[in-house]
Amino acid sequence: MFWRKRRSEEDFEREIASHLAHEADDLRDSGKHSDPEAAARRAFGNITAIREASYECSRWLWLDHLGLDLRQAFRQLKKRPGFSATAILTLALGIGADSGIFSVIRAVLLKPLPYKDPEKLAMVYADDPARELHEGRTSFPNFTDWKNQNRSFEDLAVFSPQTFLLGTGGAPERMRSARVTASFWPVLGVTPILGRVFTSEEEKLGERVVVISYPLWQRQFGGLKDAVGADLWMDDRSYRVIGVMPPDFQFPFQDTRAWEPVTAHPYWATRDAKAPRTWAVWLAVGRIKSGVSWTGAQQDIGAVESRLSAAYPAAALPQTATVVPLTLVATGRYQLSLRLLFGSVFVMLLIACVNAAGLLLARGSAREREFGLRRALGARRSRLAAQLITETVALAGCGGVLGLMLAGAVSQAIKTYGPGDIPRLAETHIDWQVILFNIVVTFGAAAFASLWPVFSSSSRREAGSRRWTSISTHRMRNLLVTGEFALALVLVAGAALLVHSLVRVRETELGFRPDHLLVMRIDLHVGKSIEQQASYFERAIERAESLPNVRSAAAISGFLRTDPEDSVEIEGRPVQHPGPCDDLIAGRYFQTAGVPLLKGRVFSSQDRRGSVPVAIVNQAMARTYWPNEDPIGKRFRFKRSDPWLTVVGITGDMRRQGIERSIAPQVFRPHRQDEDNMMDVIVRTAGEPEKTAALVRSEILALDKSVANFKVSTVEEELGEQTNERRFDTFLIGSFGFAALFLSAVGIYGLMHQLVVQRTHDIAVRMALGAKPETVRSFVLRQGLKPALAGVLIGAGAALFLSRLISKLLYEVSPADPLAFGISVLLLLAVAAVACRLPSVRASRIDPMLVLREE
Amino acid sequence: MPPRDDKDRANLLQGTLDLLILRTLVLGPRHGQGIARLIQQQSEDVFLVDHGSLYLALQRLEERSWVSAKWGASENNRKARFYTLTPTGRAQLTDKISEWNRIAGAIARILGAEKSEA
Repeated sequence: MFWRKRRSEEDFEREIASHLAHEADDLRDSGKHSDPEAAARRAFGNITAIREASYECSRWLWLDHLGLDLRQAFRQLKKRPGFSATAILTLALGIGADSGIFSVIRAVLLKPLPYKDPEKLAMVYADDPARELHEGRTSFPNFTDWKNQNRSFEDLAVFSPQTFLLGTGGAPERMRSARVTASFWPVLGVTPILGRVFTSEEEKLGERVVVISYPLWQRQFGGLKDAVGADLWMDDRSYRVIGVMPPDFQFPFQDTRAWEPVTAHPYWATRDAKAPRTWAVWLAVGRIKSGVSWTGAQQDIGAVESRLSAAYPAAALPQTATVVPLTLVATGRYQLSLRLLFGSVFVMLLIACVNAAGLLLARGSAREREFGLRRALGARRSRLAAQLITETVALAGCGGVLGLMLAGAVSQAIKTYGPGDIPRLAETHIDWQVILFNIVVTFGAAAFASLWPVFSSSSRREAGSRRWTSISTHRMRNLLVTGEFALALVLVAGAALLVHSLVRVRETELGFRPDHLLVMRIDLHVGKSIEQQASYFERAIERAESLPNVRSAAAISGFLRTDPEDSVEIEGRPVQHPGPCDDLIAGRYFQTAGVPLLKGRVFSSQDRRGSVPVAIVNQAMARTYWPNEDPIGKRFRFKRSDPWLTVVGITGDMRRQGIERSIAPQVFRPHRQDEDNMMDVIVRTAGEPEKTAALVRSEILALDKSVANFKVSTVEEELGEQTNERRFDTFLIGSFGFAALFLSAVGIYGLMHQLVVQRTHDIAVRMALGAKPETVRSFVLRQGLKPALAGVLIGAGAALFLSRLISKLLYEVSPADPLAFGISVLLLLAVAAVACRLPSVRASRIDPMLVLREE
Repeated sequence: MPPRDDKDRANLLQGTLDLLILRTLVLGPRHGQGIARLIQQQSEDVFLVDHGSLYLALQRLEERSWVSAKWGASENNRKARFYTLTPTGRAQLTDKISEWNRIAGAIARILGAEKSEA
């Protein structure tokens, strides 16, 4: 009942005084005593003892002690600002980094997806391992069969991510949308915040209705209720807005702005309805029935797909289907990175704790006399232990508060500088769960750090014994140094592996010249004939080339992104899977990109519709399909239904599927022999590309006002974006590794310093007996380096084991990369040597006469 | 902290002292020294009340809300802290008296039996 108002000590004091006065009155009245006041005091007994007893039983003693201990703890912290600052900063670094990364992990990995029972949702892909087909799409008739023939899913839906031009008077703007079946809404279990979603009836009729996203609602309709029923112009077609989704609904992409029935889009009539089975453009998502396991669902739907594949041999359907939990799909790519980050900060936290434990140990032995004295004065062991724990908690508490601030900075920095495509990264913030995590980590760190010093000072000490510091402390100090260096090596080696990978990525031969190159994606979309599309791109290239500072320009269907075709048939041979990549080019592409033509000829204006279909292939293609043969003049086609293509030229290889992917066989074809409404225009500039970018953009935009706005960027920027995640990981792990280095340096320095202080007497005796300063120096160095070396070796073993877990994040670097490991080991040993240097010099400067006289 | 066996004896005495204090307060509010004097007089000087323990006991009773305390003027015209029995305290007193009687009776029976055996 500590909330009840307590009597003050003064009140008790007054009552005793009143008692003594009354007692004296009585005694005086009886007349027996010469000094009634003294007699009254005698009758009362030991007033001080009673006062203390009253004090002890009237209060919550432990609370009182806690207050005392806390005050004492802060006094101690203030008295040794160097020690306190080091320990607090060490812990703040560990706790802050941990909480900061946790806030990101919570938002990205731990927070459930904003759908009903998200753990029951799964993506269903058409897969064929033999054809290297993974996470494939399916056709609409296939989806209908999946839906009707499976027994594991409550319902299935398909969707197809799409883009549309939002006509807003001026230049139209391109946005993401999705064509979805009516079952999409119940499968995900989401409801709009305004209006409704469309029905299967509307889907059947192909009604032009649209559900819009929260941001689009805010932007286009100012968040007004009458948006429902209003018109939205998408690609020159008017849709009726029927609903608005909540802000956290971002499916399939973060920036999907509108959802329309699959049947409402003109593609339905022109493409989807015409080419069934083989027209695999749909992604399927389903809700698994409760009680059905993932493997059960997988086998069930896989069997359905196998049956379909056997029933329609002409369609060459994939052999099986794969079920992947939606929670994995949403965060898939970043799971490993984030886990690595979390593991790393955890290791860093451990280092910080070991460090703090070392500092406390050093403090503990420096305060040996204080504790001895207090023991001798009757302080109980538990009281001393409680005080030590309180001091550690006070330290860790300061560290935790600082750490929370640091966590805020870390999470803000990751939000700002981290790769933009981490899903839900924007939702990262410091909320009560992160604060709770921070508190738990703080107390955990305090417990960890105080465990050993408390253990040693409460159990090994006997009051009066002067040298409690001998064997047990020595062993513990070695253990701490070993542990710290083992942990640090794990982090540093991880960082070194990633840095080496990044260096390798930078060194990758691209096969083209990325400097002085601008790229812009121009999307003509609907409303232009094939002829108009082709001539538009030709005119855009001409316009760009007419500008000063422009060397040449060209267009390609996808400059830095391309995917292999499903199949290829070389004349006279059976069909092979997968096929090469296929791109259309216009203008002087090879010259502009800086890819050499090795043999044959480039395309000319004669290669147009109606003339012989031709192709230029890369070396990889030549090597793969015509080894030891001259491909020029050979013929191939992608599908049975395609015309034969004749190879007219061979070019050098160019890394186009992404820097970190290997070079695939590649086919280039003249754009006049096919059609594409979306192409990347590339421009090689004479001067700095950034300076020419705006001019190129306005010149091309002036060509046709109906063309959507586009962004011009340098190819180097685009390539940089590809390595964003890698640089992000490397930077973070690198900083953690650096922090670990720093922390272990501080740790070993503190412990060696303590060693020298403790051994001052020994060292003085040795020196008095003739030991040279070098001998003393090397003695101290050995004391520090031995456990450090042991730690480094243990750490190297652990890192070798752990690095296999991150082998997916490494690029052309083995998890046991000798360079990375060698550098890490040397680096840590160097740090240990440098950190031990100062204490060793200090030891060698001990004046034996001074020390021994003091004794 | 006193040694453990000391504490045990104090505990044994505690209950008795509490009972006597409560009994004294039935007659009306009284200050500490008055309580001590009354117990001593009524026991015909058999009990020598340790004044220090008395105040600790009073403090304990106050914390349990069996008595309440207020500063006032004493018969000697001095300031004194007066203790009053609370309703809870009164109920406790009844319990304690019957408990005491039971224990005293039991002890008397044991002692009486021993006497007759001897």
